[in-house]
Amino acid sequence: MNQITTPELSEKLKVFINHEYVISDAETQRVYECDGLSAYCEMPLLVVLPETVEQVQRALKLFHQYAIPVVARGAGTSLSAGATPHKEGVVLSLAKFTEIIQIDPKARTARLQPGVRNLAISEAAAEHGLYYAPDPSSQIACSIGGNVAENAGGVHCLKYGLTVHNVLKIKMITVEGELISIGSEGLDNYGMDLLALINGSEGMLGVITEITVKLLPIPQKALVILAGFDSVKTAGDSVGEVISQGIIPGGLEMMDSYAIKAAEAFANAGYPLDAEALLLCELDGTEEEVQANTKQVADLFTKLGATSVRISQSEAERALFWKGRKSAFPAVGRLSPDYYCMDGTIPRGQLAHVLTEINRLSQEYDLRVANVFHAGDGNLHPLILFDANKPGEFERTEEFGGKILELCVAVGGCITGEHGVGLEKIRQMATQFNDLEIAQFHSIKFAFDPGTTLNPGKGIPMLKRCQEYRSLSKGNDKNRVGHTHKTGENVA
Amino acid sequence: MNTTPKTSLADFTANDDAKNLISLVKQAYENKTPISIEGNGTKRHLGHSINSEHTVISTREHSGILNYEPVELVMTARAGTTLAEIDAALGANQQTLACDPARFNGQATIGGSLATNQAGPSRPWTGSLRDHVLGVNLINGKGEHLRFGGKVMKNVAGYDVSRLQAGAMGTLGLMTEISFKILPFASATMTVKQAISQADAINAMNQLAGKPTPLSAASWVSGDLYLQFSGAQIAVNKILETVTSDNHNAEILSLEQASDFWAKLRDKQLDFFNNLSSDESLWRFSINPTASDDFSKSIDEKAWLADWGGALRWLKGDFEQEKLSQWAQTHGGEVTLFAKNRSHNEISFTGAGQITLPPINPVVQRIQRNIKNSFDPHHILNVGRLYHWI
Repeated sequence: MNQITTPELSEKLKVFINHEYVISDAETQRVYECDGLSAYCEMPLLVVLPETVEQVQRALKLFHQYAIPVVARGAGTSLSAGATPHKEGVVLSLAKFTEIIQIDPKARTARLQPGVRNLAISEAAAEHGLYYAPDPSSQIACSIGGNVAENAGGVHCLKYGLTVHNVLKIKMITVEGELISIGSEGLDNYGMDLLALINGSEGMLGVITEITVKLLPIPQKALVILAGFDSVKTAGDSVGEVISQGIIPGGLEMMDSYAIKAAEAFANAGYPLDAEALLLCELDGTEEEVQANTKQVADLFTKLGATSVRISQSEAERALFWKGRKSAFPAVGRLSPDYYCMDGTIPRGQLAHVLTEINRLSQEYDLRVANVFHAGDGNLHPLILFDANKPGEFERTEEFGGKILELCVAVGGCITGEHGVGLEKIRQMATQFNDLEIAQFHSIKFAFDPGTTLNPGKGIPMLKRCQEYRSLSKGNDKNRVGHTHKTGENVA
Repeated sequence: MNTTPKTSLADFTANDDAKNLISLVKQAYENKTPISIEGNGTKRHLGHSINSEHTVISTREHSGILNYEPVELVMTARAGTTLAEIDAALGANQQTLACDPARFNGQATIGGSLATNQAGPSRPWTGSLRDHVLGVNLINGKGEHLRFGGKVMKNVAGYDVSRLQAGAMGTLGLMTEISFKILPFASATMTVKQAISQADAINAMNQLAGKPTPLSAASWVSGDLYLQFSGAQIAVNKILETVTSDNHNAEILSLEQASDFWAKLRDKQLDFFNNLSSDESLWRFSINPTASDDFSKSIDEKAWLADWGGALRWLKGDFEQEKLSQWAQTHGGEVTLFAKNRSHNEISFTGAGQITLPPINPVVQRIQRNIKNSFDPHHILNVGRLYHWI
């Protein structure tokens, strides 16, 4: 379909991009074949790593001229196959854009290149007593550009919001190669809120080259309460009770017994191994406020029937309590050759019902599942354990995962809270939205990218597929792109 | 200050007018006749005025709270529900909107509040409705009734159509239902006032915002810096102690004085906004909160008002547009002509004359026009309200 051969394209790119950063050999390209969801793999025509904004701009103009699909990529930590290459397209890596351009301590902002790691922002701001609030669990690796593309969350969303709440301004290159600025150093702008549209747009509307984020003062004090419960329902109800007290915790996380055991074996955080559910409740603010609120919440947990209640006694212990939670995914991963992480969001009141149903499905599909839950904001991460080497097991896992997402929609929730749709949840989009709504999404896409060459095939399903998706209850369909394999394993 | 009566949910006027609204928009689409969407008409002064010959479609008959479970921290209401009704329902449960939009005597509707994204003085700390909207149902310009977002705190499925409505002034759809985040009341809120120059106030507000305190609003009005602190009583007491011992002329306002002041500032009912003399214009700057330099100091302090910790500035007087635009750009933002006095008795709010500077980038203009076309291909919804070209 392209009117240019790959070697010709490569030559044209090498005119203005360092030769070693135009990658066409399969071996070097291999690391780009998938993102954090390695079940979806594809090899692109080329991988390009520009080093300047001008190079990105020239490259995009070239791709536009030949209608070549472009998949922008940050650190590749996406869990929804949002950065999976397109087999007729180019991977545009922003990995060279790692500069923290400016930190303005007085205005409390940071200007960043898109490849800056999430955690690096807070590390750089710390000397001014400031930090960047959104903290996805992948924060040591994930990049701010990818955070914007996915509207990343984290364990502190309930109080401090998602990426969209913490970005002031972006510079973006359109599919035609025009550099524009969206947002400002002020808090609002006259006109349509394009900034809100770009956050979470999964690389389908433009390529981001600079981001200005808000920084917040580091709270004076933070304490974590670790509370064990003998039932998931009691723990879930306790979350509602905390909020009813008028207290908004900095973070409020829940894990079920499977996740507790896995995380404890991994992190030795002192989690109660006999508990059916664990709540981690962080209270932050001024010294006085935190002491008062911590006592109130700890007493409340005890009153509601917590089987154990511990309060972090030092910063080191607070970090240790969190380490268990933040490493829950890899910890669960040690129990099984592979795991598959879901990302549904539900009204909190539905928690007990949804977990019961997940357990029933777990038995039906004969696949183990561990649950990690951003309890404060209703974002559930069931981790399905499977072995991709067993024929048919991944397909069963995917089907099980799809059922969980459909369950989330049925109880009034949605299919993704923070991981994005990517390729992974494209079928479930047809569960959450009807054809007219999906058509409206497509027309928004055309407003930015009329030729649909930016990250094609992700995020929004083709309308003709929606009916198929809705009627398909089996996972053995042919719509899934790419191959199935374990991390690190080669595919032909 | 507006006081809301004690009301239970059952007392609210609950009307479902969705079918009628859909049929009106469909008709307008088929006949290509432009329509003007209005709730209670409290924000006619925002944006450009709409050709008076365009048929007005009111959302007032489409009202009522549809879903409110305090423990979920989420409410869903029909677009024509007034903020007075919403405040009353929330107040009965010691809860509040997560942000503080203009109330206009309680008559502002939730639909209009989101469409214009009006935010009060606490904006830097609590955000605006744009930040707290979770989902919307809307009728697009083809008369299709669509549902985006959800009733849960996090949802990244599809483009964020709900937030896109904030500030779009009804040009992309007629919203019928809105779900939004709510919060518990802060257990204590106190305000301290101190006479200080504007330059010193800008400095003080930014310094304080960079420190971990329960600061929840900071504004400089008529020579006084107002700082509001909200949170646990013990934390608020502590910071008040620090502020008043560091500044001997600082005065703690009574709760009534404080809430009256903040509500008037939020709803632009202070004298500053309403006493425009002949030939005076009112300009609104949305800029870097630290902006303070020779230009700002060269203008009489009485002409200025600073809100949002410095990120929102109001200026009234007779100024050269070009100079104001340059100043806004130097400080990373924009300036809008908000109101103009055309006679001694009548203040004309923007109307046909609204100017936003610097001028819009042609690529951004093209994208906005394409988005308009995608929602409203026949250009029937609030034509000319946001820009004269859509």
